[in-house]
Amino acid sequence: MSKTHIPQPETWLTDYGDMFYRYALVRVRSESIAEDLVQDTLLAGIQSFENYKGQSTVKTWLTGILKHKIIDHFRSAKHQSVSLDESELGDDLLSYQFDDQGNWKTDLVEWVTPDQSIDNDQFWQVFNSCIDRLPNHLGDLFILRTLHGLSSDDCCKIMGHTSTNQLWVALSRIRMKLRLCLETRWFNHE
Amino acid sequence: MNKSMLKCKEIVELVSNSFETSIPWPKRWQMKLHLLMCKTCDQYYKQLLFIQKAAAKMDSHFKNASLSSTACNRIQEKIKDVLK
Repeated sequence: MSKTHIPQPETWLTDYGDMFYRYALVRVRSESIAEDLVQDTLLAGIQSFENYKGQSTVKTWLTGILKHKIIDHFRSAKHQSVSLDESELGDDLLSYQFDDQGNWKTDLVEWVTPDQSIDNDQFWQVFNSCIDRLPNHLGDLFILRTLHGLSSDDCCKIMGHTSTNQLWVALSRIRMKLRLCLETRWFNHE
Repeated sequence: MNKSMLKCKEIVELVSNSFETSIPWPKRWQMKLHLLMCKTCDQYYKQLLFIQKAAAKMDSHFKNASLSSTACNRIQEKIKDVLK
């Protein structure tokens, strides 16, 4: 198919630009990277339009390209051969919360109306900042696994974990840190 | 010591893993029993469940974000170049 037969790619930016930008931004958490991903996606869509089979909408097809671009971003150099060091594995975090017998040092208190928080913009600022406070690749891992729904095997490959077990330990520490952060900065915060 | 009793420190790992995989039944049973008896671990479980739920809804938080006009112009120029 020649380029002249591509239906309306000049309107793609207007039609899908902001939607794709938001999709990328929540995942990569960088405005400039999200902008680049939108651009790369639209250009790749134009250049590979002959691969579009018409089985899905152009929007769905382009979203598929964007998802691949996002994975490629996470796969890029900064995550290669990253290993969890002891502090990131959170031994301090464990000894902070548990005594030598493995019991909680302090009882956890029920969070007040957590479901209402989800409608609160300020909650999301805190939630995001808690993810940003995680060491860089741990925040990315949480996003990839929990929001992007990438499989454990793929997460291991992309984030450089040698085993699923190691991945799960990392995810457990991430959740532990996020829980503490939300408790301190939102639920127990005046 | 009763071997079937898992420590709270082990339960928090199991709770997180239960979001990743299907825990084999003896372990799962031990976890459920522990959660019934231990209020703090049960809170931990509920709070992690909330975090999972919130994370899945992160997209809604960015509903107002949009491309800057600078970025739009830049991308539109690139598209024009490719379509030439």
